[in-house]
Amino acid sequence: MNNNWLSYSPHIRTNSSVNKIYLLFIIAIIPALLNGIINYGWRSLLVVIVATGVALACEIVVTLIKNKKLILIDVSSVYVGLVIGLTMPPNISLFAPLVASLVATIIVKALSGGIGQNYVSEVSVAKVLTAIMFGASYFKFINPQTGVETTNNIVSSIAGGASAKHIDVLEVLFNGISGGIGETAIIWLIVGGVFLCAAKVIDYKIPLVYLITTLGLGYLLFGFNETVVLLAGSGAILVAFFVLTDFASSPKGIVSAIMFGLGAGIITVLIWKWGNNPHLAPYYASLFVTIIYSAIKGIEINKNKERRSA
Amino acid sequence: MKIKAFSYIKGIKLPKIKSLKTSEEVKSLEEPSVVYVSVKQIKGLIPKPVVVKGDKVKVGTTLACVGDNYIYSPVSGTVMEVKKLPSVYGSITDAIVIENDKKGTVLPFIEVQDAYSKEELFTAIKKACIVDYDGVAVFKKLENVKTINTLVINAVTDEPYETNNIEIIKNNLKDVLYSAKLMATAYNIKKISIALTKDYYLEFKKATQLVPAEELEQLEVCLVPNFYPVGDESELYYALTKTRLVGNKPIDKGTLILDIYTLNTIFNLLTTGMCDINRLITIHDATKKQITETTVWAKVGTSIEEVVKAVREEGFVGVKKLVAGGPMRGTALGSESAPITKGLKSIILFGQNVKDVPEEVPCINCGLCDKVCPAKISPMSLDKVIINTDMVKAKEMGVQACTRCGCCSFICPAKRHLTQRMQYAKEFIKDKGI
Repeated sequence: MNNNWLSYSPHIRTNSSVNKIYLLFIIAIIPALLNGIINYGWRSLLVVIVATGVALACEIVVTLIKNKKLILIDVSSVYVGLVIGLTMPPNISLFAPLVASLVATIIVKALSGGIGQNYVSEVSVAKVLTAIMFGASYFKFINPQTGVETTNNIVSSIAGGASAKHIDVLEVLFNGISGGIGETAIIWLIVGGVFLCAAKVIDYKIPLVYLITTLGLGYLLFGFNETVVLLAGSGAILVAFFVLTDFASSPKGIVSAIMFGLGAGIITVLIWKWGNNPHLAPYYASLFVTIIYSAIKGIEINKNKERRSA
Repeated sequence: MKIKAFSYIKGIKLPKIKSLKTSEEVKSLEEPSVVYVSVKQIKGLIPKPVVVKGDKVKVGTTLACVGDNYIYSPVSGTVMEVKKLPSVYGSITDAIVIENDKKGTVLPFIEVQDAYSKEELFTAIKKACIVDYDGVAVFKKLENVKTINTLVINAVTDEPYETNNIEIIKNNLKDVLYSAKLMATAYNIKKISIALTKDYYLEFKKATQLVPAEELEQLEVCLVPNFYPVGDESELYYALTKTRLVGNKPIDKGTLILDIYTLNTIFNLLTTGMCDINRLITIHDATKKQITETTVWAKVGTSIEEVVKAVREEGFVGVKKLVAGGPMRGTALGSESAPITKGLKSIILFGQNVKDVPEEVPCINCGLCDKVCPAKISPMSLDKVIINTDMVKAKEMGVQACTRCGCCSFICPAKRHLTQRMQYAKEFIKDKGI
């Protein structure tokens, strides 16, 4: 008679879970991954595998040390490893993805408290750190169509002031300009990003405001064709949809999200115009705004907002 | 009859559960031989019993009272004893056990009249202790009120296991409109409207064919989308007028919102002198793959065990979890001997295939709970603050505005027990007097 189960309301819950959400992220980034591997060959697949494998292994080691048993596989570390692999250039030495995944998983994610507590985007930290460590070999530019190394880098020359009137914008969108493995497949990245927005997994405000700001400000400072080439060649589309929308380091309110995207866009364009390295501009911008957001998270700006009290 | 459609932005769309009705008509259960009347049937102070063993009672005799809160007997007979029984709210309270002599001699509350003035209506509703759907007494809404502009009849169904508003619309729409008109004449209310969810408009239209046309002329039909919790008073007011109430109730702005079942009860009171003897209750049987529902009229005070045994052949075999109320706000009961109160709408029986309580994993800061909260507080930040037992900060962040709707716990992908934590904080603040 008294063997009934007891639990607190509500008695029904959704079917979604944390792993299912990150699985949707992985599905959205697979087209860009396949495009990169088809263009760049087996070496790029090896780079992605090393990045993903090291991220997963570090996460398992940290879980075993903290809890002394493995509860479940954390799919978010697989996702972070994939994105880090996609930001690497295709012919880099295999130490780069190893160091990148190690730093991202252990130093940024685990030491700040685990999932959901990171104060800065771990992909940006990993990319900027390896770019500084691996210097000249990081910036070898390979044409995605022919696979041939070129010394003429179109992105740097445009940032220096050259004009891009002879470049067809549509060709840039569909074939890509040299860069990281996943940064060249513009159309597939946009398809993945729109799929995530439609599935209501990420907020559409941050990528939209970021892209509008960079296009608008870039048009004033450079010109339309030039801005498209800069966007395509420095990985800004990957950053807009997959790096800036990290849950723990991006704001959720309407006004805060708009200011976040605006700030990131302005810093990106300023680094293109007056900075040293146009290839890393979106990643520096993401570092900057996420750290500022984490620093001012606790301060309530809108003190006289009406709250219903009982 | 004017029809208007409204939109409602906050809240969540709950998955619809398809259930099969066991019969088209609503039948009445036969009279039980023993009746248990629980003393906790209205929100407020708990009444003390005033009868002892051996007293003879009629329908309408006072069994327990404290202040303005009275508990009346639903049957006539002899009092057997006063003992402690579990209640449908989860606690253990006194219950008066009466042996039913099945004669039904009545001691009416009021004299029946054709027309009622404002004071007579208020006195009648106050004496009969009629409750609205959330357990609050109706007379508390009407106390000290200056003017009422609109009377809204709340017939909204927003939970997946449905309540029985649709049966009242099918069978008693004429009575409901008659009592609404009596209230409008007494309180000088200009506009009467009825709020429905869009799915039930066709059934409502079929039911209006039984009502004479002149009573429907001035009625306004408001269609709202089926998003939970649009059935709550403040949320319905927001859906109809797009203004947020801050620390107020709708009655302060001149809108009286009453449940459709409450108006049916007021009709019984004003035309027969007696009310709240029987209760319309729906039993949802979710133990098998095909979910069935049965709606019956049962006498107030019947124990849940008897009701389920009369409706379901196997009795309690295969039932693993018993929930009194809806799936989002209801209480899980530990024993079947709890008796029916005059505010209980439905019972849900879960079987072996019910899911276990999920385990919590760390919060990923996705922000879905902030988006769906109807009270516009932030469960994501309150979760962290309450875990650190910082209740002063929690009170500043507005945890007392939580209405326990359960939307945040429902949508959380990390399966965190957010509703439970908010309720814990509210009780902590009340106990320690922060």
